[in-house]
Amino acid sequence: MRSEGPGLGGAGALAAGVLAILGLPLLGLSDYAMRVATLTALYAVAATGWTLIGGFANQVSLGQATMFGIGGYVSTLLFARWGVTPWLGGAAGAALAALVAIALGGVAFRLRGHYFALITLALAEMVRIVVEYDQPLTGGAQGLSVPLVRNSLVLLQFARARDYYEIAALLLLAALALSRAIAGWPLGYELRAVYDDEIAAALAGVNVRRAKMRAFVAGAILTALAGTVYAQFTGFIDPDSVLSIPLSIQLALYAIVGGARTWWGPLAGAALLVPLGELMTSSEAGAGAGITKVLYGLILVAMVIVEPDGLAALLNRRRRGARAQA
Amino acid sequence: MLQLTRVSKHFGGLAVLREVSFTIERGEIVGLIGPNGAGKSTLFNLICGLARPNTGAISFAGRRIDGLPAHRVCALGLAKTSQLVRIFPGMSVTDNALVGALLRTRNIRQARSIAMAALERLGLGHAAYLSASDLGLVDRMRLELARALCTEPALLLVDELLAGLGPAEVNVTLELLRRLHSQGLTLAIIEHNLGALMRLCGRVLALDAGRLIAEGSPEAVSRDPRVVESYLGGAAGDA
Repeated sequence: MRSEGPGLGGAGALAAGVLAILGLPLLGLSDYAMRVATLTALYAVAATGWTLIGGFANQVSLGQATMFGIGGYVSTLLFARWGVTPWLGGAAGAALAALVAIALGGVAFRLRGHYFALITLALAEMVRIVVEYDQPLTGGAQGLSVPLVRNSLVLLQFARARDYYEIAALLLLAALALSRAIAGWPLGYELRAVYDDEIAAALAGVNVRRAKMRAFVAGAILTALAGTVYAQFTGFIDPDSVLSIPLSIQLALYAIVGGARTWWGPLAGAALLVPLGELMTSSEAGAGAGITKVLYGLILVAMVIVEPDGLAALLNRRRRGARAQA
Repeated sequence: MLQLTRVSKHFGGLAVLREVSFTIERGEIVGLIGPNGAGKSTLFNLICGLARPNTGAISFAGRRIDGLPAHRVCALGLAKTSQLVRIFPGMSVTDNALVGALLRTRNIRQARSIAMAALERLGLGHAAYLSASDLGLVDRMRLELARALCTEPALLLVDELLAGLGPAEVNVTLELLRRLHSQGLTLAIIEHNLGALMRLCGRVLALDAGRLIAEGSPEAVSRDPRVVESYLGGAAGDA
């Protein structure tokens, strides 16, 4: 269980990565491929939000979908009812997600151990039930459609998937930049200390509750912003797609498979698993429903056996090996 | 510098500490002895903020600290090292110490140089870039001390530093503590190795079954009939 600084350094490698993410549409991929790429980027942002607290500090949230759903519902409701631009709606959703995180963390971070996971799980179910119950406001279990007005950057509505992709890619770069920065800030060191031993961290002067709270709130904001763009992109949200437990698990899975202790792990995990999931879903009619989940489960089990710290650790190990041989 | 006034602690119905009162003056090295289960570690945990006393008051440098969380107590200049050495195994040796230094500066570069200085001071400079999990027991203990020093304590509580060390290592460690003391650190030390304690401490407190039963020079306390009886009683009970 080793974590090292920001990692995956090299200004050249970073610049190449940024260009690859932004330049993907230049490959002339199909609209379907760009849709998958957009979904990948958005889930990678949401999983990055999870990893700030779940990966960096090992405070596993089982309700990260709540933040995603808050982002999606707040912007969609504001847009559908009052015509508020999703740019402002997204900010409002992020603000509400931050407040929810503060309230939740205020309770959960007084306790050590698994309470955080349980409390996030409980809140996620509560929010889902309230949204399903309050049909007049939220559309209930039937969900909400984003009114299609016109192709417009102001309204965050586009005809082509690649336009959504550029928005999602910019959000992704911002999320990765934040996550990478936090890893190198005092907060990053404190979170790694908390990961290893909370009591030792407190004895070394770390304000454990404050560190967890900052990471949780920053992560909630990122995940909520992804939720807003997701709602605009798909044009439709319901509790199953943005507030469900399986989504929470998925987000955690992307981060864990990719490497939850690194800033780029959630992207690696999402880039592997989201396209795979889409592929399975599109062929699901033939192969039998639910096969995606079985496959996810198998990948997770394999990953935990081979390398519990995810693809990132696998890669680091290989690089170290290569250096040792050189 | 540190003052305890009738401090009591119970876990459920079990009284672990009963009305313990004492003071520690700046510049002292105070030893705390007592048989297993006497309440020594609990006492340290109350002082450093890991637990709260049920009744009584603890003051440090003129202010009440009972009820403050551990990181606040640490910020006031009161640090503790643990009985079971607690380092951050997933971090490098330097980063372990650096976490302590973050209490004094939020600048990573400055924190790193404070950490390096502390590691040098404890003879761990050569291991700075290793992973903390690669260290042996003695070096882990030094690392925990280095991390505590990085928080710039005025008073350091040391909970059984010598347990598991061989005679040579005990001597090196005692020398280390003496040097830290000569550089201005006040020390309170829990130790089972009475011989070591006698050589190091100016004053010893003896605890038995949650009560302070003796206090004074190492020689006087070690001859105190109640202390002798508590240890012999404990040994007889163990046998």
